[in-house]
Amino acid sequence: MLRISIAFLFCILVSQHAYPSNDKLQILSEHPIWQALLVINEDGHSDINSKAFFLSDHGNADPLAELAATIKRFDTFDVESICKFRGRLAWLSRVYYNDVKRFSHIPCKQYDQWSEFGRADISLVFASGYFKNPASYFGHILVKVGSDDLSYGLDQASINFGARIPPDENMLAYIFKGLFGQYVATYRSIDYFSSTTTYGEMDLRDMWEYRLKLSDSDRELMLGHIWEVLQEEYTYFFIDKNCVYRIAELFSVLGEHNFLETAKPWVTPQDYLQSMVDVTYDGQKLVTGIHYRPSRQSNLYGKYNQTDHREKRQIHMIVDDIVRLESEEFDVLPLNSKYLVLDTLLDYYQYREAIGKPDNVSYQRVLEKRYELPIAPSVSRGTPDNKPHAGRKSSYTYMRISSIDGQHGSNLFTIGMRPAYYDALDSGHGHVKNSTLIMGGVEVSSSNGREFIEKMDLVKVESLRINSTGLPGDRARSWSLTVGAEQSNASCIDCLAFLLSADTGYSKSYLSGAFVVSGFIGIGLKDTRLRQQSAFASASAGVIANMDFGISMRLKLSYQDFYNDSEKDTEDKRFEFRKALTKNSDLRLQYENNHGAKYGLGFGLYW
Amino acid sequence: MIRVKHALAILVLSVAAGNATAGSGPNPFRDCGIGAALFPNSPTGAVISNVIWDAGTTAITSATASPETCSGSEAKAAALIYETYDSLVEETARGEGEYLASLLNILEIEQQERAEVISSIRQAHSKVVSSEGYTSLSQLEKSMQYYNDVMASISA
Repeated sequence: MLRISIAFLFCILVSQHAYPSNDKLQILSEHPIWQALLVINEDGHSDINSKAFFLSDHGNADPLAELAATIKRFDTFDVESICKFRGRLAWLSRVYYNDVKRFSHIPCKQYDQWSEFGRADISLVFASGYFKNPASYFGHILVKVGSDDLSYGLDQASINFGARIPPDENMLAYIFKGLFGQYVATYRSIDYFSSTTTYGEMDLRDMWEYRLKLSDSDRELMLGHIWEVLQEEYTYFFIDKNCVYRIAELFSVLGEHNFLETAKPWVTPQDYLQSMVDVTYDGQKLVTGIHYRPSRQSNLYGKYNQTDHREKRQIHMIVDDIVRLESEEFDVLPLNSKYLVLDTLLDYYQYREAIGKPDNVSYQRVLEKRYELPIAPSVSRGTPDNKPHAGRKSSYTYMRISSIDGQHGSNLFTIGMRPAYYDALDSGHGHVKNSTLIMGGVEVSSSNGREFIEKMDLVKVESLRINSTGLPGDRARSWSLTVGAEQSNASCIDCLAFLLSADTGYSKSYLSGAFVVSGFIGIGLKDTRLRQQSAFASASAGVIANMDFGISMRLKLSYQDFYNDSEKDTEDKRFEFRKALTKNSDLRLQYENNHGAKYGLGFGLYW
Repeated sequence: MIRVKHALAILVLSVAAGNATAGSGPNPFRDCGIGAALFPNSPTGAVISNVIWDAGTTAITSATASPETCSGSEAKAAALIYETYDSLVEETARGEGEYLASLLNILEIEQQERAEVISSIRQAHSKVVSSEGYTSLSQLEKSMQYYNDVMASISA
């Protein structure tokens, strides 16, 4: 006890010595930018767990002590601190030392190189959603540091915030640990060419670069802050304090500008992009330009769609038999056609490589042929108009009035909410068109004074492939997965049944995507209690129509054949019509028929 | 046994790579050490260096490598070539592209010299692409060949 008291007294003495009685220090330590530089959260503690990030023993919860310790190091021109804490240095040079050149004679080779001497451009980069990894369904945000001059190439740094996940982590552990903060996460700086290869070539994700215009001093401050938090350890939370939150947080050192205005308890990359594109900074838009970087798959489709009938025929014939590359039919093609055919084929074989179906021999033959022709650039793909920031808001709340025909014959008033993201009728900007991605959706209904859960979508993913070339390995394989609960049939209001189903099928689009036809077969479980008779096999067919004036509609017919219980076998017919009223509102008409019919009219708002 | 054969093949190529670029400075594919030190910003760097480790070139490494060898522009160029080889080799066929521009930026090739350098790389690497055993070469082996073609084109 005596030892503890002495230690406590010593701490006080040391602290009193370390804190000069200085109002200026006190004021600076309470400044929002200093708090942002230390990543102080709403509880007054830093979100950074690494002890090495703090120069004071109590720096993670005492911004004044950390400020005093930092100044003490800077005053002695401690090179290690000066080269590490570049954000603190940039800010204190301005507001404490009033001399931005005070430390400029001290070289910090690594930082100077990385930040282009504090003058590197900063861009936000959005990587589109990736259906192979649940954590990437909603897309990903990273920061690019380096010249935004396109002729400069890809020799820049990309800043990524991500959890350190063991290589063989199973999915359940991954979800649990991600939700409940069991992963350590860090910012990492990796070469941008490495990121474009990973996202664009291997994951087949489109990338959108949003160039930001910052003042020289803010740019230096932000680059310095990014540098000082690299590799520091945070706790990762999948829903809120995720990669988007942390990337947004980097901008908080810019002070009075609020770069993430959201009332939602969750953050999605698309919400953040929309917020950033709306930001006015020093009287101008913060985002000054957008650059689209298509994935290998998008490049393939972009080029394939530019081929005429003759070129398409050549492509299919060569894929069927690579020897046809030496045929007279190919040889007599105009040179531009040869380029287009060969470049499309190169993208095709690289796409096959990415999906694990390589054909290296054919790829080599095509590449060799391209080398035999004179130098010429590839046909470039234009920027599509479905920019991820330009669409509606991501969350959706709706009201619906329904009428049930059948044994219960009654009216329902329903309120529904889905936190994010899209369904087959409202998929658009930054989404997988005609597909569905819903997590945590819920519908609550009221009928005759009684409230009940009508439907829950824990996870509902439907991936409809429509852009395929029809070449081997690129056929329109589609799939869906549903985990949730819904009423056993359309006329029932007190028979909520859990639902688990998985389907696989094919889709095909007609009239440039105006109509999409799909067919699925699948298996699943659906019942009010788990038993053998809960299992079913299913078959379904559907068509989605995308019309002008914001109109879309879907018809789906399905049949569920239950194991050992023919009474439960269900013919399910569903039709839904959607009219976008404004960018962020819509009207929907619904019809559902299985063991009874239900008609509904709904109004929804996106927020 | 396969592992030993593979290791020997790499070793032979490593030595060949060194010979081919004689006079053009150290070769990161041959000279750089083990682990992430080779490419601190690149997860695939570990793969490269692990292969080199397997090839038994550790002794060569410790005798010749210096921190500058493994963190300078040549090492970064080697990392870019290894990680983006497929895109790079296609852009070389076309004579232009972002990865190719990045490579030449890293190696600080002046704008007015680029067309000639690209043409030279293209000519040299077309022989590799059209060689009979091209499809059986690993990513590392192709990258080493490309690196040698680049260095030879620059020093020509």
